[in-house]
Amino acid sequence: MKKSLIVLTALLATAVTASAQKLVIKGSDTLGAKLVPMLSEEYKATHSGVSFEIAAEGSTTGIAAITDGTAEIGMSSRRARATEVSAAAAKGVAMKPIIVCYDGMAVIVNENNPVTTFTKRQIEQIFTGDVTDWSAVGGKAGTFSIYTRNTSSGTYSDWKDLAMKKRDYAPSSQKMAGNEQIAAEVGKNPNGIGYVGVAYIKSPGVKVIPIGGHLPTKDEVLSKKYPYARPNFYYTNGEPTGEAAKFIEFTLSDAGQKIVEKVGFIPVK
Amino acid sequence: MATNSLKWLALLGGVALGSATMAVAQDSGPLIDTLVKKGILTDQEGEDLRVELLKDFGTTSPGKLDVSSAVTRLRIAGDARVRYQYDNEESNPVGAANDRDRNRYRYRVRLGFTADLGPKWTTALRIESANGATSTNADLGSATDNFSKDTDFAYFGQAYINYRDSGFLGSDSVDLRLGKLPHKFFNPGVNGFWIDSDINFEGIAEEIVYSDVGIKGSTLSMRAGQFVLNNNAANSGSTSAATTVFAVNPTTGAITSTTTNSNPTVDPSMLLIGQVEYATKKFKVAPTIVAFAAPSDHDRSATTAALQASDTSVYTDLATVLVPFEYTMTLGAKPFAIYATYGFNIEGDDRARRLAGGVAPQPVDDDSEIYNAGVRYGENRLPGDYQLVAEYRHVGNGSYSSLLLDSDFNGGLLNGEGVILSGSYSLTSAITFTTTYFNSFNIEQTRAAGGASRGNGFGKAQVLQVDLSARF
Repeated sequence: MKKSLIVLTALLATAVTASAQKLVIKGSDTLGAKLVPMLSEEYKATHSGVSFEIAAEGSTTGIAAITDGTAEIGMSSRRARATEVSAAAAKGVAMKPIIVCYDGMAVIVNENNPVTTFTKRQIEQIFTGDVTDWSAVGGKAGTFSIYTRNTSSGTYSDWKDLAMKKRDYAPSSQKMAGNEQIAAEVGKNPNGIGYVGVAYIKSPGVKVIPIGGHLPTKDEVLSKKYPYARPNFYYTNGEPTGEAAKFIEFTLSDAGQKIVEKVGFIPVK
Repeated sequence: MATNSLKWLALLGGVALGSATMAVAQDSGPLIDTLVKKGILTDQEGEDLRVELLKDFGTTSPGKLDVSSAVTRLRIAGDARVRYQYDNEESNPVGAANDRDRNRYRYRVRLGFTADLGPKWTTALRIESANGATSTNADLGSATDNFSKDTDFAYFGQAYINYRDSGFLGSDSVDLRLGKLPHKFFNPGVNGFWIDSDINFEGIAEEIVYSDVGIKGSTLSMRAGQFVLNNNAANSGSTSAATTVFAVNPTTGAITSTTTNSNPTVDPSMLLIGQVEYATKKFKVAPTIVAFAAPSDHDRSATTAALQASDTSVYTDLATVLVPFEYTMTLGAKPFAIYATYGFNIEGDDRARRLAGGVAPQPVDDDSEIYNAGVRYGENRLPGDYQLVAEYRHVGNGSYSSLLLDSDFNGGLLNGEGVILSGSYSLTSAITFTTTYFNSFNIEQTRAAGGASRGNGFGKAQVLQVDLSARF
């Protein structure tokens, strides 16, 4: 009897330990496709026994996961909306934003496209459908093929806010699952145009177009001269604790920020 | 730490002073951005501050309201009114039904919800306290038991989708409405004249507007409506107009019969209105045509020949041309308007005869003219504002349709003329006290026997309304 109790206690302890070491991270594709998986791999190398469950299905899902308590860290490429913060507060969740890196939403076109520059006004006209042909913005005649993120994406709503004066996307625009898909489509389509995070601008077949003379470089983004720059976030319920706090600390450490830079994002320091 | 505390104290103090958490939270975005740009706050401090400002939003009234993400703006508005009404009505001819002398205590509530779905689309519904087409009043004390609620109902008075755009055919604005909708036709008069102000049409309405036509600040508006009067849903079950065909079998000599409905197709009855309005800041004129496009038997649920004949007389021979006009000026710092409408039913003689005696022509003094003329002084906007109106009306016995007329004057019927006097005073910007007096007389003094009551006006009618209205 005594032995059985000892074994049972040991099993329970093991199970509890194992579950405590699993970090659930949900949210943004911008962060979750490359950066966070790389950070987690590096983190695991020095924190044995820790496992990660990473789901990158859009910023909205990350913020919702914090509100619902289904993740320790919510990744988001946009700020939580007023309604999301208040909905969380109503459930006793104190939404805590932590800036983990910066991003510049880069405008990409096919590398064979002769266009070399855009103004902010032209970008608004293109993505809202005010103009439909490349000839209207100095390109060769041909109808725009506009590639955007899907509606659960933080990038999708940030782009509306920053580049389109909150207007609706052109009805002809095509929604893609992630940055990589947008870059791939633009790389194949001479009439393609889209926006991706800076981590994806080196995709084959695409080139980045400056906006009013500004490119999404580290200096331009940090100085906020690039018009489509934004911070990227981890969200937690209140001040982070436990393994989540350690992972966030690692993300913000020199080692973590080196990975941020390596992936293509702009570090916080 | 002390510096941080001071920054927070300053911004949160602003919130407290503003005492409108959400407004301040949203308005603080540019302020925080500026503080970050100037290096007074770090990016992280700015983000913490944004969340802090938004956190309490959920405890405010707007924060508790969960509105669909498709809605870009939601407007909730309505009005409530309590009314004392005295009716003194004599029938025409004397001795027929509708002789009455009564006091009524009434209330009206209308509650509307309008949701913008982006810049071009809107959907709206309005709940009203009565089911009549030309009235939203419910009577107090009308229930079978004292103070019971069995005569108090809520109805959908409006339910429609609205599309607005510009540039169509070079226009400055286009307005398309579908459903049970409020109209935009220019219709000057107390409570509306040729369209009762309580009517919400059912169908489609269009408006196209051009600005600065000839005179700077002018508008040229073209409006049209195609409204369903009856979808003839009762048609499928009707046997009243059935036709029986007999056939003789050439071999056996047996006679067989086949009964079919003579009008199996469903032809909706329509009311068509077209209006062209030219308006400047001072005057407005709007030639209009109102016509029925109705099948000969409008109401297929009318199961007797007499009812069908009566129905036919109401829904045919209407092609009334109207020219409403209004001129506005300032008199003693208050607006002063002269308005008038002249109308003539092109089919008025046929209509008058039908209404007098059914399908067969009857001897009757046909009167195809409908007109009003009035003056209006003042307006009700601010506390202490007042408005006075005096109006004369004439509605000939073949001039128009009782389905559309203002129901408060002459019972909303034809064959009447008289005056309306109205005065209103604003107790606050939302509360208005109004008294209105209607006095009408029949024009053709004795109608032929068998005249359809739907068309015939009262011999005399006096109505006094005393209202207290609240807008919210």
